[in-house]
Amino acid sequence: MGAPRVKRLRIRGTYYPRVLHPGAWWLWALGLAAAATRTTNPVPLVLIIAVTWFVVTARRGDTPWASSYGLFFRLALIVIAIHVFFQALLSSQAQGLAVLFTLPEIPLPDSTGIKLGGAVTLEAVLTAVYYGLQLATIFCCIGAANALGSARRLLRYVPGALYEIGIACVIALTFAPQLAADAARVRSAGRLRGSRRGLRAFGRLAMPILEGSLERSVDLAAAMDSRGYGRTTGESAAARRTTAALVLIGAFGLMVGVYGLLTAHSFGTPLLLAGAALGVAGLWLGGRRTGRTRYRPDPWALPEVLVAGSGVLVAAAMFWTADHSPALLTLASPTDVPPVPVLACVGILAGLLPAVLAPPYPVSSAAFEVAA
Amino acid sequence: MARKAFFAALLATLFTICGGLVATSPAEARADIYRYWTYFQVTDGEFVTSTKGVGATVPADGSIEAYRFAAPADFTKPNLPRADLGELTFDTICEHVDAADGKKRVAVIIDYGVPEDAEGGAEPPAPTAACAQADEKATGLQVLSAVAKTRAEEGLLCAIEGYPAAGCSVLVEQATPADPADPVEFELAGHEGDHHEDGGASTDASAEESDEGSNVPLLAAIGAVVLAIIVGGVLLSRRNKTAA
Repeated sequence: MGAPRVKRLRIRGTYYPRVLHPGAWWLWALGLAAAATRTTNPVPLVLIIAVTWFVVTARRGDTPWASSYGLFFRLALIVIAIHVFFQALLSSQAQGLAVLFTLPEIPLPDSTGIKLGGAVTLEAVLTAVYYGLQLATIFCCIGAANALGSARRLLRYVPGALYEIGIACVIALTFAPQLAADAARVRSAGRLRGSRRGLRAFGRLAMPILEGSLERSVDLAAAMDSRGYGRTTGESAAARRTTAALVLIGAFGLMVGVYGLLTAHSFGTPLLLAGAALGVAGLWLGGRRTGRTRYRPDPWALPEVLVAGSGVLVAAAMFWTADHSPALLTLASPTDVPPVPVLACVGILAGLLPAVLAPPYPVSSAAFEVAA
Repeated sequence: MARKAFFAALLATLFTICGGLVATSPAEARADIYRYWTYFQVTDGEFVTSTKGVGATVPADGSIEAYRFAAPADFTKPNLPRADLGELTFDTICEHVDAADGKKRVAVIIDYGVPEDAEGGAEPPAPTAACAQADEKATGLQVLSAVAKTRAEEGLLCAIEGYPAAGCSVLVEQATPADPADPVEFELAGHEGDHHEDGGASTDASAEESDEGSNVPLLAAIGAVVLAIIVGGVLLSRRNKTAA
């Protein structure tokens, strides 16, 4: 069954199996997430979740992080549950008229302004579910980006000035699973020796794990040093300071600019632009310091453009709807039958295209042997 | 030398940014203007801004609650509902609604504001007054919900009858102009015909029903699409498993 499929995909020219640029997947997912931020209408939100799940099913590889979508989906369900618990079951502020059931009320003095328990109404539950659903949708988008374009691959594209930080992150991401395996090993060893659970046991657990990870770090550092990692090209101290100053001032400008933009002050946009320009200049200056080339960079070809473009299309359709008919994206009352924003929904369905447009994930060598 | 010049330029940039901040702040010193629904209670024939949120008050039987959509320049002196309280009393609003057992009657005055506050300068809905009948323990929000559709976010009232369509207490450039002294005509809901009980909701309910009628096929279509996507995904993952 596997062999003819692989052959057919090979014949198709541009769509031979390869790993898509992680940046394209992240752009696609961010487009969907941006669309989700503009609406609390459950219709487009559920559609976005379905689209992310389908594309992940169609195009994920057999990598360890490919299963992260399930993790994010469970997290999304927890988010909805927390919203309902705190805003509908505990709070009396958002209650409406359609009483579902009545919880025992905990008497608190009036001066606190808080009321715990009491009647739980459909309006409060629906409001909590809809707002939770919005956050859950954004979680699913991030989960899809994680499953399709791994964060580790994306870290390869940090600018040269941040090269050291990028390397540190990659190492941390690589060693995190080993740390968990270490902990399991030490714990089962402890249990064989008959140690009990509790705070003291935790201390006994932490020491060997810390020691093991430290040892591994020193080994890795020595290995990397001998291969020429961390080498900088000759550069004066002044140039280094200039880079640091540029990046810092740029970051400061960005921060104040974002604040200005969010609070609708007039200085927002110019400061944001100036800060961005300074930051880019600093990163470019710093990038010259690390004179290294990228090993086998991922190409940015037509499939990447199409995948990223479909994400932009989703966001554009939603933003257009938000501008022209906002009543379709926000419910006048939580108990209303949700309206259907047709254009936004068609836009979201365009987010399905990467399931076909993106090249399939390369089958690992073991699978090839089975197929042959 | 070149290095010194570069540092001078850098410092100049820093000063420009900080200077720009300082220079713009006095101009921005006036308080930010938000456009929102202000919540009033009527005491002694005057509108008094509520100190509590709409979900935290419990209006008494026979009281008057009022709402005004505006962007006051000074939030301590918000634009009042443009109603003549000499004419619009609890008795005139609630005369057609009989008190039921275990329920309270509260008069609700809703002023949707002026076209300056509407999105795109559209004409806002006509101001209305309605008599709400609700449980004795009902909050201000529940009383309001009895006569109008409400959209609230964590105890903050965002919209009445879907007005405004989107957003909740948004920042705006222009404050609402001062209201002229003479009051505006308020539409008394539930006073024509025999529909005493459901107040202003009667006309809206029929409009909503026709809305729902046209909406259901679309909703069903979206449901079918979601179902198709899920079934397709399940089939795909099965095929991938057998292929690998």
